[in-house]
Amino acid sequence: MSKFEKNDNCGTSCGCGSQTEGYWQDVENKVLDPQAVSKEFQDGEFDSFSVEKSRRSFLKIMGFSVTALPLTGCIKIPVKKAIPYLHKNDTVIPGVANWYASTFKGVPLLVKTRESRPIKIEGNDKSMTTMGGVGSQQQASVLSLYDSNRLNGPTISGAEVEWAEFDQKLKEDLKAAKESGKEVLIITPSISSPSEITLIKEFTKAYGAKHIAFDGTSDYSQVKANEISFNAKAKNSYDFTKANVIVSFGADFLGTWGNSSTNTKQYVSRRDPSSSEGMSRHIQIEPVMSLTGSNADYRHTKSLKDSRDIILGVLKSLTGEGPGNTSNNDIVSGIVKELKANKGKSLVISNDSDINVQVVINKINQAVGNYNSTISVMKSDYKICADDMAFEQAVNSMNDGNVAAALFVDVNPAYSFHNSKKFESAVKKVSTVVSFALSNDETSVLAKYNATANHTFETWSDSLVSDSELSFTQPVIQPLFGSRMYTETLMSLMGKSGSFHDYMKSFWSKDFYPKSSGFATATDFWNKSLHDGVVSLDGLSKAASISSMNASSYAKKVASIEYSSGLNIVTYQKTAIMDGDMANNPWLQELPDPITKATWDNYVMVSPMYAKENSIKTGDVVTLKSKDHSVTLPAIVQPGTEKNTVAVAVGYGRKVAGKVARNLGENAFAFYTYNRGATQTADSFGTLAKTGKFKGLAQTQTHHSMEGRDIVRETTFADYSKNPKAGNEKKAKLVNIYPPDHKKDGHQWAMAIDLTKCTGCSSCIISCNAENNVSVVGRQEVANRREMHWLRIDRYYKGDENQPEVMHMPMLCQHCENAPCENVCPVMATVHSSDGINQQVYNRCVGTRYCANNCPYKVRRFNWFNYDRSDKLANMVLNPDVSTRTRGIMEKCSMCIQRIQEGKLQAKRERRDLKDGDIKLACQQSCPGDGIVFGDMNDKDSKIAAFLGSDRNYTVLEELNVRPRVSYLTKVRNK
Amino acid sequence: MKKLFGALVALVAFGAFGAFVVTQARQIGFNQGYQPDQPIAFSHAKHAGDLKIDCKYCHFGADKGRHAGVPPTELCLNCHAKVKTNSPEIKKIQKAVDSGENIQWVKVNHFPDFAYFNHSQHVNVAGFDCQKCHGDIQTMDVVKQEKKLNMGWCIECHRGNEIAPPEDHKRAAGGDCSKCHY
Repeated sequence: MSKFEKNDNCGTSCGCGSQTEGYWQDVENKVLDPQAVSKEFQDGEFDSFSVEKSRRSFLKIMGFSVTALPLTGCIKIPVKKAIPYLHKNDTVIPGVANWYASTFKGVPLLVKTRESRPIKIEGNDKSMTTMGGVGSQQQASVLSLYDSNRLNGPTISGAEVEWAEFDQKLKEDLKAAKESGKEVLIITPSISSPSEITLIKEFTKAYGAKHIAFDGTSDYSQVKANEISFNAKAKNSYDFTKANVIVSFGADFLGTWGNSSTNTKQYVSRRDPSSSEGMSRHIQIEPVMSLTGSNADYRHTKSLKDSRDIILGVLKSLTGEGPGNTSNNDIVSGIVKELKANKGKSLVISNDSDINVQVVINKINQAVGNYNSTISVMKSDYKICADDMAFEQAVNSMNDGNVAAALFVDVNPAYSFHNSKKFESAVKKVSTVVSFALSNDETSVLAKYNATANHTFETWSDSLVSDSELSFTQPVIQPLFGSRMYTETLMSLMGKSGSFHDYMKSFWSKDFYPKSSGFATATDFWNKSLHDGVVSLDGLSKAASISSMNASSYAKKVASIEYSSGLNIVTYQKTAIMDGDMANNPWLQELPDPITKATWDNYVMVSPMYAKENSIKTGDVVTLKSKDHSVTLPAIVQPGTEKNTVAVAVGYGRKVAGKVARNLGENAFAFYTYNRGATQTADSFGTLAKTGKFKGLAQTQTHHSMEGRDIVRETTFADYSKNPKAGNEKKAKLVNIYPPDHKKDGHQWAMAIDLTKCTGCSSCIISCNAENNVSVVGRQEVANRREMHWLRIDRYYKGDENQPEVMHMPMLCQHCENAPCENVCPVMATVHSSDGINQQVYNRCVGTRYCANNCPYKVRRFNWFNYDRSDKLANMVLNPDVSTRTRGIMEKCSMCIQRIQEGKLQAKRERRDLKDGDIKLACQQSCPGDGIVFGDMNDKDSKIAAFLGSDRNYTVLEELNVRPRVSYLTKVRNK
Repeated sequence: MKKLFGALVALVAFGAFGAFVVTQARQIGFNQGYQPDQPIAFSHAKHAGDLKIDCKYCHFGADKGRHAGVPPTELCLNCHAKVKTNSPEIKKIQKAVDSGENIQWVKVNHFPDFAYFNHSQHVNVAGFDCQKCHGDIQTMDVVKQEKKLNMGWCIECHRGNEIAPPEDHKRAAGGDCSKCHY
């Protein structure tokens, strides 16, 4: 481990230079664009304050103010209009929220609407699949709805037209395409919507078209491997609740891979050290630090080649098949030992995009009896998975001039296809190109026709969210623009009358109603399912038969994969941006990456070892060159990266997008290659060269050294089993001027966060942003350390910088009973409430910032500017129950005081006592790991009381005697 | 002596001026007595007073949520589709409903954005009559802002003994800032 220099701008208040044993934080000095600071005051922001400094002008101003003041007595506030509804919907009561069930990206949701406008997303806890879990993209989806960059209706060659004219012209062109004898293609992403699939089937029949599913980053290797192994073209379904051991080779299943909300929910349910089942053990082998890897009990930083070697070694040890491994014997034997001890109760997963590797993984899982226990392969007619090969062939076919028409639904291959130039020239040879994009993207600008589609929250649909559960997508607002559901466009092209809603309803009564029980009519069934949002049915999918097969030949193929010399360029997705389709969402752009804490950018991740050898520092702009692509991006020295591996995130470098996403970073999809029958995400090799330039990254954490204090307390499961207080033995001696029997009556709110359950996924941050109208400040202001997030997640490292252990710690206002901020406020703008909340009163605040200075946790946020609220459409997302803050105001976590008030009022209206669980804070609600608990600590039966009484409970910086109301439970690793 | 007298006059004048400024400044933003003209000559005295129509028939939100609400225009026609259809005022309403061009009432009682007030908390939970805050609305032909509606006015009631029974959660909002400001 290297020693790191101390930073002058540290997050938590520092004072001493020593570091806790083994812990470390920062990789280098703070990086900041030196020009940024000098630029700051040149934008005219403070022009209004610039007056000539003379006695004369002073008197002028004084004279004016004194004479002007009495006049204010005569001023009436401007006339305000009150415009009622003309016709009011019965269900809408102004000021009362309505909740509707819907789905976004395969996750069942509840959408909160106020006066018919969606403002907040929460998980649907009726779902048996996600159990209320949601991710950051779902949370942010509501802002994408109000994207003023969306297209206002259909266009032909860029010109806006009416739908009738559009339909007629497109119909003619499609008819001609059909008659030409050439191919007609409809390209969608992976679909799991039964009614959409049925409609697309009808469409393909009507136009003799071919349906191809394409994902930028697909799970094709797994699907294809399942076809090879079990003759089932389907993805795996995992059950992490049954797994005692999880071995993941690079799969970021808690962040970006598979259904991460469900995975997190299940995974975390087995991470409770006090449960009778015991904790699961998680081993991660990966070349770059992923969110999932940061949560592993044992994480091994290994190159892609070594990972595959280990997989072969495990196969050989378990089954005797294949050539076996050539290195890393200790890791192989460790894994094999764990797997053998937990037969049928383990999981081996990999995100490898090589088909043969996936076949080997299948065989390993089969050898230890995991099928139909922790893994199932379910075939369903209601799911279509992306097919890399078919799309590759389609592009070739377009290039050869064999395609007459191509319809791109919700896909953007001109951006996310590995060879976008080839795609562009291919698509130019297609005479009728139709895009269904919501706003212009790289593909839609190549299309003649744009059948502008609705946002998910303006759409009817359904999705198969697991093997046996269906979830509804229902519109929660009238279309904001002149767009139309893509399904209705397809219906219109087929000459079908009616709405897709009717189509779907009749499809449900035909296909799903017979599978249900206990409903008198199909309409009853439909209404109940729509109300709940989810419905579980039998017979939606069929288990594939798991037959034994020999994987020797596939293992040999894996062993014979050739690796070029140079640095292995690994691509990955960032938790918030994923593959870039929601890149125009400022909440997601400003969400710090859980590992690097960088916002608004992608960058080249290099290992500390490589950086040292080549004297690369974070922020140095480097050029990364592969055989046929190069990017120039700032470097970031990332602990836990394999020495000869560099990693770049996809999802950036959008050329045609809204103003938020445009020209941020560079496109890394071009590092994908099509090899060995599938799109490979990590097959590129290349070189790195310094350009000599420097570009500071907008990181929210560059130095939060624990400075010798035990901010994160942790222990191992072995120690915990012996002593539940392990790692938490230290108790500071605190003095109190109040007598010991000093009473705190009424509700006393408190929060506890279980660090064992926090994966760092950051869903809570977006939820908090949405709930509390937290401003987006932009890249430069984040670089200036002025991000406004009320809740941040601190990330700490420990141990060897090549194989560090990682801790995630959500940090928010600690609502100290002896709050240091309150003592220093000269205007009493921050004071304590009788129920234990540290209140911030905006209308009293004059912005001295003394409070922020005196806060030991650095959780107070100051409005340095009036942050942009000029986009009227985007303002529709604001929560009307929370006031927006202007320049010069301090703000911070209010413990969702509006939710507390709402919960209490609800109980009062129902003439009952408040129950534990009635009030859920925004962060708590969105936590897919259920790691945040909130409640009344005076209620002895409450969950919070149990958490506060836990042996693992502690408060951060306890020795300061500020007595935080937010406490933490020690992190337990299963070692 | 003359000088002293002059200084005294100046002092008194400055004091009076100062007092005037302070009293005036403290009124900024209060609109007690505000009684604007409305686009429809609707009389609360007629409807709520003479006809004794329950306030919550039109202002149904008062019982359920934050806003009492101006009733949907169509609601007027519940009666006026049959009653007094020839009145020019009713014709305005009918025209608004038919044309889709809504009536723009002038807001009388206005609360600043940084203060949260919930009608149902006072009407439903506390069981107050509307008149407590809105004055004798049943006698007003044109509605006027009866009370000050400033923070001091809120606190007067909330500190008074008539509310605030001691048991914790049933207690009406005490002096905590964030009961209203968030």
